[in-house]
Amino acid sequence: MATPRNAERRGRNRRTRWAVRFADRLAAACISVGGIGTILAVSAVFLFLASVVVPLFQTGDAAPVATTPIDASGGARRALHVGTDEYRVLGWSLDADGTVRVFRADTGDGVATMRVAPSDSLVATSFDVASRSFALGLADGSLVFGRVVFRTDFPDPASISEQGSSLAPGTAMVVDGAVVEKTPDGTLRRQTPAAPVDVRVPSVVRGAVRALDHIAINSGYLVAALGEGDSVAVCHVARSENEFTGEVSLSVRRGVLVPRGGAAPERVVVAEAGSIVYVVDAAGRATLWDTRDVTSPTVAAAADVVESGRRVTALAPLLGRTTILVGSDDGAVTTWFRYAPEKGGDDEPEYVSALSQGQRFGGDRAPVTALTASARERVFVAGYGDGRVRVLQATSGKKVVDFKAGATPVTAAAFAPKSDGLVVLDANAFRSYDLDLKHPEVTVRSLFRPVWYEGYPRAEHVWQSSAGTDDFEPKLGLWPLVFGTLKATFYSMLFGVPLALLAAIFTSEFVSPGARPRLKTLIESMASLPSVVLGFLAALVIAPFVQRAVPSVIVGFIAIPAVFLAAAYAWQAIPQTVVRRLDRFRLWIALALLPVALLIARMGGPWMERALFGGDMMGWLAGGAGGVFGGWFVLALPVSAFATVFVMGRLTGRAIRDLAARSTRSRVAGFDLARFVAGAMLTIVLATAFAAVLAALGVDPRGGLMGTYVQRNALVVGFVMGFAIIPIIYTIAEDALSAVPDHLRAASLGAGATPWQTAIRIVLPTAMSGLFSAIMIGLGRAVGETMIVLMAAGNTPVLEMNAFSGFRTLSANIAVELPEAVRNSTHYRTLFLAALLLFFMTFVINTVAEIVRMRFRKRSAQI
Amino acid sequence: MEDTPGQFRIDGEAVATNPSTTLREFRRHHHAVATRFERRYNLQKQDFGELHARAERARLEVKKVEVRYGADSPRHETSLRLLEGEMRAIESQRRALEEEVRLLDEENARYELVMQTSTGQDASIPLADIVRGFPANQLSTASKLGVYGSRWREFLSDDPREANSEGGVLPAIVGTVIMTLLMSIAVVPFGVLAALYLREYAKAGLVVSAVRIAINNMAGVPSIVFGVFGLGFFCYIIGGGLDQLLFAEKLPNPTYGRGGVLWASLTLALLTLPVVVVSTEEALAAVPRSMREGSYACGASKWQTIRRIVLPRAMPGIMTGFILAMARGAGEVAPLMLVGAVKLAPDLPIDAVAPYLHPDRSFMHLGFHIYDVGFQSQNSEAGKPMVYTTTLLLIAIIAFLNIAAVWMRTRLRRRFVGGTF
Repeated sequence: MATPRNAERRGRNRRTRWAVRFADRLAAACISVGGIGTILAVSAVFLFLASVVVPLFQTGDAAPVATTPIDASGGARRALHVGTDEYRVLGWSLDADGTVRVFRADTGDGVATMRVAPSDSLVATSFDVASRSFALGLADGSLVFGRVVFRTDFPDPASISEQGSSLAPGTAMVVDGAVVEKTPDGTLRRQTPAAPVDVRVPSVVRGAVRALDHIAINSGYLVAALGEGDSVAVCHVARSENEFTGEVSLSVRRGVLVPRGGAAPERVVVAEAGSIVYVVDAAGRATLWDTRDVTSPTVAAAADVVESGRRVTALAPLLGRTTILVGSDDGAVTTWFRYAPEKGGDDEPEYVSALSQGQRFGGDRAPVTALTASARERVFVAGYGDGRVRVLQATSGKKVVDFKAGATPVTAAAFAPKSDGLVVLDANAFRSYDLDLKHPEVTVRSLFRPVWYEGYPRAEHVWQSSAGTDDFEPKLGLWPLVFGTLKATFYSMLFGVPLALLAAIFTSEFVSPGARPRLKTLIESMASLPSVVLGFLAALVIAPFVQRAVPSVIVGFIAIPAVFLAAAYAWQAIPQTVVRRLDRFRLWIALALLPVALLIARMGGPWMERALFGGDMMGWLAGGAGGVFGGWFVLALPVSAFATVFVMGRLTGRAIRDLAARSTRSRVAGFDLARFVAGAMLTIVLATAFAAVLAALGVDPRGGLMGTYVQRNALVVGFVMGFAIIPIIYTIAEDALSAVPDHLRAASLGAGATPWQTAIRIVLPTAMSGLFSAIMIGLGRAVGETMIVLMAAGNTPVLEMNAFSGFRTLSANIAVELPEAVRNSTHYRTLFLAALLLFFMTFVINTVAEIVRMRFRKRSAQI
Repeated sequence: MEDTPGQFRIDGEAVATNPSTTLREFRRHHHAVATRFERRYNLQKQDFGELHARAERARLEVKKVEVRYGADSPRHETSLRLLEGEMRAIESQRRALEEEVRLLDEENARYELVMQTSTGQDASIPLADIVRGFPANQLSTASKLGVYGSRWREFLSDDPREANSEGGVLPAIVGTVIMTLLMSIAVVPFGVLAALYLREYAKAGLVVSAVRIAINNMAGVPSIVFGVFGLGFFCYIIGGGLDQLLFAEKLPNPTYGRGGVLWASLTLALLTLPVVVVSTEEALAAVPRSMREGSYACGASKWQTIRRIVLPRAMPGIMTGFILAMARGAGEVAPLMLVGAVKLAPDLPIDAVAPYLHPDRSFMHLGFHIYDVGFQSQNSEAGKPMVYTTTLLLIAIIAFLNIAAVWMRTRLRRRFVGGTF
């Protein structure tokens, strides 16, 4: 009604209503922000995973807390061992004058001084980190055992002096030989140091004790002490207390290690709960004594633990005392442990062992002057002659912390009991540090290279993240998982790719256009079959079936393609008139061949088992009786088939083309059929020859591609996962083939080529890059598939090529272990790394596929 | 059946000794006993659960006051007194409930069935422990169908029993449905926004093609990676943050800081985003250019064109993406194992207690149920029928969703063909 008038009016309002403009702007803003935000959120996945992983590779931090100069008055203040209490309020040192001095870690104010040995008599000491006990070797050859303890209680504020109750939170004060600290949450905590002497054992060695080491074992100690005359005494000191009288009685069992030749012994370490004693001599040779029977020790192994010409300057056991740490005068620290060498027989004595070097930490020329292990982790602190301090991880070889404490040699260094702090003593000062180890057990090397774990006979790839015992060392080698992923991918591609590509060629080139969309939808709808269903089928239906009929399944893999090929050649040989009548049923006839092939497999399996594997394939695979010929024959068959196809094509291709030009169709078909039969014969002959040669050479396929049969294995996973990736490969490949313009096909057919020739020589090469990207995308799918492998692969992280054994993939490992991993622990971050690795692998594969596909699109648009 | 000795006992007295009378007695009493048993089960599950929740709420209220005003404040003392009163009320209700349960148990304990096992021993079974009984060899086809139907009814509408290897999967169905719906609510708006941006607003160039590669790449990223992301980011970082802000009184017990149905659906939303983006883009591209140009020529703004012309035309395509995303989400299990799917959830994520939807709760899922019963349970052999049936149900749901998507797509194509002029 208003419009006509508006149209007439000259100055009509051409301005858009503000509401419309506003809505337009708002929508543009919202959509842009929302759209870009969504896309950013997607990339945030990657960034977040990376942010969780990064700390894994960071080194630790040591932040200085306090440096307290020590009174240089009196040279007697030469500390042999240092340490702190659990809360790192107090520091203590065991000094050469036979006293334990306890002082405030922050100010250095003395808290208590306790005499544990007569002055001027102390000549050697050892301190056991695990039990916090010390052993003192005196000039007269006797030993003193005791402990450094901090009694903690929470006193009533009223019971201590007024100052105590008015302490600010986080500060401490010294009261009557104890330190009282107000914790940040407001409670008072009092720690009273003590150094009770437990046991004195007279005259263990002749002369003065030159070196000793001890461990605390149930109600006693095991000590190795080096005296005059190069003899090492090993004592088991058991302490029993009479319940009624409180009288302490000692029983000492003593043995002597007599070194046979070599340089003079210098240092000793008690290892492995006392069953082993290491004696290191001046020439740097370590002898390993079996002291399970204390009274008659025997030599178990020996090795040079430093390079020739070098001297051992420090020796200490690692956590658990299975590995010993050796510091030399050129600054190198090496770790050593005993292992049982691999040998033929099973019945050799278990202590036949060898010493192996685990890690080597090179130094910078200054000698190692202090070595102490942590009581919680497999890290140790090394102090050097130039004042440098390093915290090192014994298994991974990670340099966790590296700093220079002072200019003078480090005389002693130790971890706080919880490994959250570090104390370092040199000639000038007692220094205390906050320590954050982060993730010492992980380096890029330890994740992807073989690691020589304690007690293993060689460096190995191991994934073993948890175990029942406390002193278990997690072994986080990702390679077995990456390998498992690749193995699953390989076998599933082996099944999936040929089937998917052939199906794609079939639908795009040989099916009537009407049936094509229906067929395509059918195969595509396979893609939405949940993988949990496929995994369930694989593990509970297919795996038990295959286990019952392994030989038949193997024959099936050979028989099905062979039957179809034979039928195809035979089809050619049927007279044209018959073929024309049967042509409508071609697909059905082809389908009918499947049961035939399966029947052959069913019958042929047991026959093959008898002929090649001595009637028991499972037993043969497990390493049982029977020659290796059968295994090689089966393995050689596909290889020789491909070789035959290649050779026959080269030799007879020309002849058959000539024949085709001259002769009738039926004769050519007959010749072709004969050629196929000859090829099949040749394949068998080739495989036999190949297998015979290898069998004669004595090479065994078991342990390589074949081996002990496990119900849930790579073959089953490959088969089912092949089905999982078929739809995606098929869809993309079919799209690529259909995108080849019809005029190419028309030209080829018009030139007289058959549909098959057109498909193989024209369509396939044109669509090649599209097919490639289809395969790549299928590959990406297979890499990340989780549920099928989780359910059907057995989940043992082993490194075996064996097609009949299980494996564990990165994805399944995440699914199994992440729910139990403690947040931000090393294990948690390593699993995130596994996820990042998967992300990265699929990202690379998919990007390559995508770029190739884009190229292909551009090219096919040009044709 | 004739020579199988069977006894029906009431109060320890045999009221029937031969099979046919036993069966008659069984039929006469079983329904009442089963009803009482169900009543007892519901009492224990719902009423006791409600009491427990009330007590928990009361305690948390006090804790909240303590966190906010300190332990010595007068408010705290008042709340403590209130708590005491509330606890007393709860206690008396609990006693009443216990009494009711005891009466039901007592009544049910009167009925007992004595049967002979295959080894010839007599075994007495309390009638309440029997789910259903029928003379298998004497059933007519109709009653066989009846038993079959009753099994299906049990499967679809009951809670699982016997460590998930018996009973029904109702919690898993509900969990799957809720999770999938939440996921769709999250994914569709964002997916459509991203597609609109890519197709209508962003200028074609290197950035857009890079983004497209990224989106296609996302479709290929393994689902477990999204699970890892969901656990680390949604559960621990966002959920942990929410807990500190809103549920400080419950700490250190996490509320949102662990797997739950909300985080599971957000994780799957991320996973299915490419599906929605790609299919929406396709649908937008399928709207002919001429229609847009027509709209612009009539003076419509860009947003008006999109809203009135493009989006309605593209709607079936968007719906297709939506359904395909649902199908993918419903069938995906691996990420759920990390972000909230559990073996047995005590409470459904949706129930009659305010606020009705509990996005923080962990849930049961059909796919996870298959994995769990088939592979994680103590007695996987006994659970096999359960696994097969659940698999069938899951496949049926997903097939249904897919067929719906295909149907949508064909409708879209027809419209598209009709739309060109």
